[in-house]
Amino acid sequence: MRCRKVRSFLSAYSKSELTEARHRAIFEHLESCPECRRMEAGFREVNGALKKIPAAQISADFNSRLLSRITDERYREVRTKAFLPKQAPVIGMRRMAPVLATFCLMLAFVLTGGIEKLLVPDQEYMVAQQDAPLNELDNRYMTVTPDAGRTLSQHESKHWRFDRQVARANRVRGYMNQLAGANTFGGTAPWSPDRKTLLDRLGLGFNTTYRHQPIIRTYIAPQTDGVKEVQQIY
Amino acid sequence: MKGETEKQADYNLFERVQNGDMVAFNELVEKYKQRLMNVITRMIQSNEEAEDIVQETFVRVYQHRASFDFKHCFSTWLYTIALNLARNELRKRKRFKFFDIFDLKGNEAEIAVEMDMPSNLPQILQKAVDTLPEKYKTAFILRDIEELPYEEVAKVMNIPLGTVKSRVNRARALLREKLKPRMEEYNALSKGTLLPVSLL
Repeated sequence: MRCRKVRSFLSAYSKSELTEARHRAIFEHLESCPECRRMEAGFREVNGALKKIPAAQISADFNSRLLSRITDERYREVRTKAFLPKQAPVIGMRRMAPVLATFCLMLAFVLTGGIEKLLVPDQEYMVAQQDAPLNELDNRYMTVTPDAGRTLSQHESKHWRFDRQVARANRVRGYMNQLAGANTFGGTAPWSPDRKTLLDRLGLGFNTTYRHQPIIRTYIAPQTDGVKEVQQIY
Repeated sequence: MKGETEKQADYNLFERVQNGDMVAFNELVEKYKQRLMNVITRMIQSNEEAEDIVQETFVRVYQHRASFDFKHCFSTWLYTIALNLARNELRKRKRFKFFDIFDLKGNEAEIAVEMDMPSNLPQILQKAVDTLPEKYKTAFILRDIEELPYEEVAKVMNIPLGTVKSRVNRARALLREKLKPRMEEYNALSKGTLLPVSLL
């Protein structure tokens, strides 16, 4: 082993930190090399002196001062736990964020008069309703299809009450036509309901009680020959 | 084997601390305060400040006792906290440099004065250690003065094992170089020579 390499291991050698094989190799080199031996002695001196370095001084009141600080820390922990549960602020804010956002939106809605708009009907709409009824009723009456009423619902139409009445009128018209033999080819169709069923459906049956006042007082039924007027159904 | 027993003893004590046992905490303080003081005093060269840092270390240990991971060694955790606090202190000093009237003489001059008294070799060595660059000094103190295993030094300093070995080796070489002339004088005197070697 060359001197340069040996010297890189000398400090570790002096502390006996090397593997056995390397330790032996350096030991053999040192026996024949006075310069390296002198260097190794230097390391040994340093190691010996290191052991004699006095320990750092600790003041006598170290423990009491530390105890005082730990007591403060414990007191703070207890106080924090008592008034503010652990992790409450973090979780609280996470949960409260959407609630706060909703609250802010609601507040903004109220402040900008949104509720009043909801509660008080739109004046323009009301005027339109007042002006519309006759024409609209006529139009709807003339254009309604026989089964349209069945598909109408409260959500599908703003005028659901009117539509329902129109639908009922159409049903009544259908039943009346069947009673009168209309829409059939020369008589009562085999699949059409019998007379009793039709009268029941019209609310004229024996056990039928009529609960709603129909809007139809007069109905003009289209007939094949001429116009037949059916008056005062109920 | 001894290390393992000590490690287990630390775990047992720390488990008791986690359950609120202050007697166990006191035992840990008693066990480690001197070791920490030795390291920190040599790092920052001020006894009072080192004491404050060691106190702060134990307070931090108490504050974060619930977050200690038992996969790691307690002493490693403790040394890491203490060294981080010491590094913060050194950084603060660099930012706000304080001047002491005794510093005006210069560190080298002070060493030279002390080195004129070879009988005081450990103190001379201490002064020489203080002059080492921080990265070498930390590794050297932990390994050669505190005699921690290389692996633990690597964990405490959060650097690879090879780097620790190289830094310790470099620190030893630097110390030997610094002390070389005085060592010879010291040896000559201890062998009964009346005059230093340089005057012979």
